[in-house]
Amino acid sequence: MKTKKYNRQNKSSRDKDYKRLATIAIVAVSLLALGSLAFYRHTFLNNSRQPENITEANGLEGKINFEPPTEEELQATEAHKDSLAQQNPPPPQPNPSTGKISVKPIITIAEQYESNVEVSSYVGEVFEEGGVCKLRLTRNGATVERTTTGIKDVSKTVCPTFSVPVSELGKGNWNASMIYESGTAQGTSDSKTIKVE
Amino acid sequence: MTHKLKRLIFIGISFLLVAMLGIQTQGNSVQALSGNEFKAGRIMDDSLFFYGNSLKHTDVQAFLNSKVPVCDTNGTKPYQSTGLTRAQWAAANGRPTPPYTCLKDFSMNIPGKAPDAFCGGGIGSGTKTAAMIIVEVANACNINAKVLLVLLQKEQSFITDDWPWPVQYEKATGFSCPDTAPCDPEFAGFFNQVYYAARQFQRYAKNATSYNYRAGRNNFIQYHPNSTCGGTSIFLTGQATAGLYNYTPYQPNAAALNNLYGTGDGCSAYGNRNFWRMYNDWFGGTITDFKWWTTGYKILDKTESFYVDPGKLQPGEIYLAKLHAYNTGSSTWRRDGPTPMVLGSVGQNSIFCIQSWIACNRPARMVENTVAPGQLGHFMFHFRAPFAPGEYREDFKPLAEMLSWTNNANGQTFGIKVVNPGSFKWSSTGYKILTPDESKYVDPGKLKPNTLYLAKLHAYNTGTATWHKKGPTPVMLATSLPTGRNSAVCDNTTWIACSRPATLVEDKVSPGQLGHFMFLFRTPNTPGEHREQFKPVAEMLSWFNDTPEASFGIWVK
Repeated sequence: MKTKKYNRQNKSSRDKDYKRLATIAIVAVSLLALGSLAFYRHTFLNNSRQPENITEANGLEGKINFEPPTEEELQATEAHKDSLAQQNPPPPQPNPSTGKISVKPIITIAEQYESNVEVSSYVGEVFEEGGVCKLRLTRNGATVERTTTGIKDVSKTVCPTFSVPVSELGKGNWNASMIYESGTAQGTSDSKTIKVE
Repeated sequence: MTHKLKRLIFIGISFLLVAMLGIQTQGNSVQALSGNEFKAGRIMDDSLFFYGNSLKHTDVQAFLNSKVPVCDTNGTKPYQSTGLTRAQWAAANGRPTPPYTCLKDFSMNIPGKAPDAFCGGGIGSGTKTAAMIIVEVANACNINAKVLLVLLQKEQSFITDDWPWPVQYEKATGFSCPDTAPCDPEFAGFFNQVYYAARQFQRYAKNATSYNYRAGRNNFIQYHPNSTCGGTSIFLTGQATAGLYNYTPYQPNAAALNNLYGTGDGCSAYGNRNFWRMYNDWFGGTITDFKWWTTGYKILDKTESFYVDPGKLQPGEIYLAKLHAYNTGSSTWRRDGPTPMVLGSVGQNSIFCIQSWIACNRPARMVENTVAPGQLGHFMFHFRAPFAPGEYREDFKPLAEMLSWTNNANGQTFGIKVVNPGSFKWSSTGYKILTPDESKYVDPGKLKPNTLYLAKLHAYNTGTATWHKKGPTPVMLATSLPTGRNSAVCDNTTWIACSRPATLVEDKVSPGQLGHFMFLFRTPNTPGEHREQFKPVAEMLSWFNDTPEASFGIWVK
């Protein structure tokens, strides 16, 4: 009986030792793993968006991705080839009543800037020089107009920025609209409200 | 092993597996570019966009080679699932037939360009490869060659095309090429397309009012050519972004951003989205990322000869501060250019400011021409310690001027302590009057009118501060009662000012020692007794704070 008791105690003590040892080992390995995680994050994830063989260009600044094209890039390239293979979209047809293409100028900036009201716009439907851009500002029956000549820009027509001194307008909310007319096109923009102070 | 022990080990291993999975997941999760990162008002920063010398033509050539490992010159690859080769399909459908010239193999004879207002560098004529053309245009027009490469891909999928058609060379960048008409012949062809596109971005910058999108302003930008798709008003942070919208006047809608590598919906436009995505994928970010870390300041004497304890600075003295700054971001710092890297005071104008500063909130530019990510840079600036004793602290941090502050943590605190020089006190046995050549004493009661004499004043240092003849706080004799008063016996030719007869004669007078002031004075024209008061002052620091003033009394006969 004594021996049995002794053995039980001995086994229990050994189990405790094993548990202690296992706990220490797990904690140590966990710490090692966390350390590796921190090192990994510090070393690699700072530049994580770069694929592996993005390399430094010879002595010059910045990174270049020298990877072969991705599947997505190749698909996009083929899709572009398909679009080239299609016929160009037909040019817009003139409006029978006016004999001109209907366009809708887009006002991109319409605001008071320092002591001037500034309005910028473009006409996306045509690519031409010499058309007339007319800015119309209205408020309570008063109308102020300015004109300028449209210019080509990459693939659209730009109406260079109009700048109207605030002193010519007076305080209040003014409605701005852009009217474009050329030998081939005409149209009016949506109006925008400009608060003049 | 007991059941409990096995369970413990099982839990431990599971924990490790989860941790390792976590590492892997984190690695993958940051790889993918997300549409959420697209900022419509800041597609690209100026410092990256307007940077002409970013690549050599050998780099560009290597890049082109990598994107088309094998050019399908003879069109032998299958054309989609038609069962035909590309050459066969092209011949059957009236499309361009082989040979196909890939961009990496392309060269042409170019006419050359003289410098002008937009492209300040010239381009020589002759036969040039595509890579040479891209780099020479980039340099001449100060547009990043990477921008031009992405523009070619965005407009024509040119960089990854292994069987390009002649029409792609004709309208390589889409410049002067409306969708519904052929390109303007004046600008057609690869060289013209690259050159005039790059030049156009400089036109946008230099003639901003002629175009419809402006940096630093709110701009209405549509989602699509169809105006019923709508748009939003966006503040454009820089000229690069404004230029991109001028070139391609649409922003991506949510559908286009949600499917970043695919298509959106009927109101999606892709030009600027694709530009941003391609640049990110090939060349890193379009947004500058300025971060820094520092080991702090070193203070040196103004000639940079020896280090000085920042806790023991002398009032009003000029020192040199040196700051080590590590570039821990992903953007290169540049000393020059449109967005130079400078040191800035985080708060208001600095009390340490002196004339050599760029401005009183900008102590200095970076010392080095460029500091790449991971490298060490320096800022050095002279500063004046305040005159009043005490502790002073201000925060400074680097910034790319006109673009961005370094955006991690706060500024590095610049802390100094100006020592208290001690008390300025004196006593005097009074004046002696001599002839100007110091050859003999003169009775102060018998002076001639309008005549020069020499006054000599003994001054004992009874305070705890050392008196200095030179430096930022020189000890001088000054008019008093009231202070700042012009003296009636001033000699304009020898006095420092009519309220400052003389500096100390000795270079230095320590506490307990005797010093002297000597000054020529001119007697008044009018006879009679004349009396006024003088006392020393440590300039910019302190009046001698005990009485009496040394009463200077003379009698003009």
